[in-house]
Formats: sequence, C-alpha cells, structure tokens
Amino acid sequence: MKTGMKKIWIGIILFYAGLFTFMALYDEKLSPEVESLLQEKQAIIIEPQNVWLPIVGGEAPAGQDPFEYGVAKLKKVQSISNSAQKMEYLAEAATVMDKNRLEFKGKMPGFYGSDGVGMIAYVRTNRAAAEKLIANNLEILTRHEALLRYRHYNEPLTMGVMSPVPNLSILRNGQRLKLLQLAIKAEEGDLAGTIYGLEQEDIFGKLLAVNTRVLITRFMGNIILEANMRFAADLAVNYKLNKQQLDRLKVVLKPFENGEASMTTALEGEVVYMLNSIIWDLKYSDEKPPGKVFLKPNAIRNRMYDNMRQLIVLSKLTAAEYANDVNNAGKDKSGLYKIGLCFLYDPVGEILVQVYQGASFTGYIERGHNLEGLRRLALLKTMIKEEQIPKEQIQQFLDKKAKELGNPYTGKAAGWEPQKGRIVFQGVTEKSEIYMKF
Amino acid sequence: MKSFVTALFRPQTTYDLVENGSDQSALVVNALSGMFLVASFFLPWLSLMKISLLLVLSLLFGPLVGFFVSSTYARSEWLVGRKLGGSADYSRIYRLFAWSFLSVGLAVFLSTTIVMLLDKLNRGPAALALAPLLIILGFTARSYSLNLVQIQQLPRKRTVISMMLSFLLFALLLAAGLFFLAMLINMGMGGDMKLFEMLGGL
Repeated sequence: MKTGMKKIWIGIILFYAGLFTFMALYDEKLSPEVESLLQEKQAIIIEPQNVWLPIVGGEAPAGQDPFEYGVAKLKKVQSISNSAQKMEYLAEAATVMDKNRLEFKGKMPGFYGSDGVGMIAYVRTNRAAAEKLIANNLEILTRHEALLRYRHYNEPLTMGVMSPVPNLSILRNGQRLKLLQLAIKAEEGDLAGTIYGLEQEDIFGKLLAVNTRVLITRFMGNIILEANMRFAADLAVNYKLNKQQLDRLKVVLKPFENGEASMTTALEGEVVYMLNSIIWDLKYSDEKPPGKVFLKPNAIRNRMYDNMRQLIVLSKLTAAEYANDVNNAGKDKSGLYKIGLCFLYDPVGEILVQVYQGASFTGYIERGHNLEGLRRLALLKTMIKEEQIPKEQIQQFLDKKAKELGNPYTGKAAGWEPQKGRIVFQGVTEKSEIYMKF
Repeated sequence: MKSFVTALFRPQTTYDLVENGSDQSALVVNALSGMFLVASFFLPWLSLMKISLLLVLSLLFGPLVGFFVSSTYARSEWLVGRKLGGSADYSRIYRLFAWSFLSVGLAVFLSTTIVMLLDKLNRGPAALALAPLLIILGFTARSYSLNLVQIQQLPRKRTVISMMLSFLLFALLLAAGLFFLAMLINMGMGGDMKLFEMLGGL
C-alpha cells in the first residue's frame, strides 16, 4: 500500500475510533427539573391510616389482615432491594401472587355499559343472583368496607416499578359488590342507609382520585367515581326520594374540586415514578459493556421528562381547549416526536420516547374530562326526574341547562335519544361519546 | 459524471477508470456508495426520524459501510482469484469494485426513493420502480465481470467461478460478522429489553 493511502486509512480509523468513543461515553447533564424531581423523598408508607397498604394487601388469603399483608409485601421488596439482588428477584417480589390469594368468585355483570343493565334494575329482576354473588364474595366486600374507614393514601412513588402492585381487580369488584348491596338495601326501603353508603363510597373514590400519583391507580379512581355517579342517578330515577335525600345525592354529584377530575397530579407523579424506575433498572439490571453503550441514564431521563412535560401541560387545559388541541393535532402530525440527532449517543432514550408516544397517555387526560361530562349527565338525569319532565320535553329541558350543564368539550346541550333511552354528549372526537341511560 | 454514466453501459470506460484512476478517488467513491446504501436503509423510517438524523447517519456511517463492503469484497475477490491463477493486484480489483459499487449504491437509493414516493402518492404498483434497479444491476454485473476477465487475465469460465466463490466468501464473512455483533449485543441488551417491557407496561 502506498504511503499516502496508508495515512488516509490511519486517519479514517482514528476518526471512527474517536466517533465510537464519543458515542459510547458521552451522556448529557441531568436537566435541573429532572434533578429536582429526583430529590423527592420517599413518603412514610407504613402508617396506620394509609389505605394504600390494605389495597396492596387486598388479595391476602382468607383470614389474613390485608393491611398486615400489604406491609409484609412492601417489606419483602425493600429487604430484597437493600441486599442489591438482581432485577428479576425484585420484579418477582413486587408482582408475585400468593397461591392462596383471595379471588373473586362468580361473574360480575357488566353494569351500565352500552348493553349493560343498571344495578337497581338488575337487583329487581335477579335478586337471588345478586345475593348469591355477595354471599360468595363476602370477604372481598368486608375488606372493601374496611377501606372506607381510612383517610390517607400514600404510595411509595420513589420505588418506581419496584413498588408492590396494588390488586386493582379486588378493589374494583369490592366496590361493585358494595353498590350491589346498597341496591338491595334500597329495594328493601332503606333509602337513607343506601345514600349514606354511597356517600362513603364517594369520599373513598375521591380520596383515591386526588391522592394517587400513579396513572393506573388514578384510572381506577375514575372508574370508582363513574360507578358512584351512575348509581346516584339510578337511585334518583328509581325511587321517590324526599328533598333532603335528593340534596344529599346532589352533593355526590357536585362539581369536582381540588383536582378530583384532573389528571395533572397523576401525570406529575408518573414522571417521578418513571424516572425512579429507570434508576432501578440501571442499578439492578445485569447488562454487560456492549449493552451499556446504548444506555445513557441522564439523556434517557431528560428525554422522558421532556415528553411527559408536554402531557402535563396538555392535562392542565380546559376540556374545550383540550378538544381543540387534540382535533388539531389529529390533522397536523408535525407535533409528533421524531427521533433526532441525540440518537447517535442515546438510541435507547430516543426509541423509548417513540414507544411512549404510542402509548396514548392522552387517553388518560380525556378520561378526566369525560368524568366531568358524566357528572353533568348524572345531575341532568336526577333533575329530569326531580322536576318530572315529560319525555317529549326532555330535549327542551337539556337545551335550557346547556349553560351550566352543557358538553364540557363543546358547551353544547346534551342530546336526548328517545329510541335508546339515553342522554348523550359527543366526546372529544366525533366518534366518541359520553352517555347515561334512563 | 459523464464518465460514470458511460461507465454503466461501456465496460471500457470502467476499465479506463480502473487503470488511470487513483486509489484515493476509489476511496471517495466507496464512501459515496456507502452513503447511498445507508440512506436507502433509513429512508423507510423517515416518518419516525428527523431528516437531519438521516443525513448525519448517512454521512457518518455511510463511508464506514462503503469501506467495509468494498475492502472485504475486493479482498475476497483478490484472494479467490489468486488461488485460481489470476494476476491482478489488490489495488486494481479494489478500484474496479469501487466504480461498479457506486452504480449499485445509487440505483438502490433511487429505487427506494421512487418506491416510497409512489407508495405515498398511491400511484400504481410501487414494485415497478424495481425494474430500473434490476436493469442497472444487470449492466453493472456485466461490466464488472468483463473487466475482471481483463484485469485478472483469466478465462471467462474461471472468472465466473471466481466471482461466485468470492461472493460466497464475502457473504460468509458478512454473516459471521453480523452473528458476532448480534451475540455481543445480545450479551448486554438484557437490561434494556427489561426497561422496554416495564415502561411499555405502565
């Protein structure tokens, strides 16, 4: 080889050696916002009033205390993580299910869905089945009733994915069993007791919705609140309630406050959860040098934070602003995240943001606004019954109430669909809807 | 440019470039071919990445791909040819491969672009765009083999055998290299995959 060519080849080799070294070693500085979020101290979890513990321990085998079971589950994960075991052991400890865990027996009907029946109508026609369902799952119901006495909710957010996973299925079924029991109580004529039970459910649902900072649990909080509101409207329509009883139902259906319907707190918490999850993974995963080249802890966290920050901004919009934003974004794809030059040194972070973008977190924000839509529909349904509006005048009544109880996205009045026997709001997009059957 | 276009159809022009061109220009041509190939690879992902990233990836890693492919292939051709009695030195084979490789890189790039545009515009079967690629590849293979006969001073039959064996050797080396790379990545990627699963499951 000629000397000139040799020099060129040496130059090329040196250039690529330099380039690959840069790609392997370079990482960004942690952004100040991320740094401050990572400073968040672990909340005190093991305290007698923390309802998160019995929720986590909700699946405790029959006869065991869910609170103590939740504590034991948390301590197990903490002891393993303190001994710096590998990721697999930690993940296993966080999600492991006891062989004798409590499980729901039977099949819960799909209440209030598109074809689903209301709880009160179900109890009227299937009383024996409802009572059997309750009798077969008495322990789940008793545990759910015990949850209603707690007044605090604290999650170990800084443990990230290593935090024990709450058994949301038990929680959801427990609440439906409770409402079913209240429906039976109403059928027996104890309306005051039924409304009191619903009020307790409402307090619990709001405690969960306001305090949880993890999206999945927040989602469960929404489901609980939705069921409560539908049940409240169901009560108003099916029984002759006196003024005082109706007023108590209206308290359940009062406008949301203190972020009860907003997803912002959950999204902000999700950032802390996610940033800590990444730390746990980097700390305990057993990747070797070639894989580590693709992992840039600071760049990954900066990128994920930037992405979530946009969602947090989106979650602070009003329903109308949000609908406008979503519908414009649907037409204009330029706002979608595209992998940029950082891919050269942070391929994992750039791809993760792409994956996260596809996860459609905006659906969670929409759920928050839909909750307000549902509240308005439930209140309208209650008022239609209270004011004894004839069917042919319902649309007129809805039009009259559009100002204070109109569609949260458009401000338009709810629509009355006599054939389907329901009142309805158009959702954030033309195809989606929020409705309440009569 | 003119000599490049005529080189495509006239083997003699390629021969002149091989005989009179420098190693440095062959190096630049290989870098260029590699850029076209890398750009073609990433073009279908353009909806997910910024165009600046595509350009930088092509500019930075295209030459590397070009150098790797041309050096490996030319060396395979040279080694196999020598065993079969060929007389060409490595440098000439390297230059011959470089000038032939350029048309391959360019053809792949143009075809990918046309396929993508047709696909986007919903104008007729996009596969039709592959026809020019096949025609160019045919001309390139013809020009390459005729010139190889000339510079290796081997009978045609033996040159064809040499080309086939060289291609097999190159494919084998490439597969071994990719396998080694996959093993390296697999050894260390476990943690990353877990991270994906966990975050995807939130």
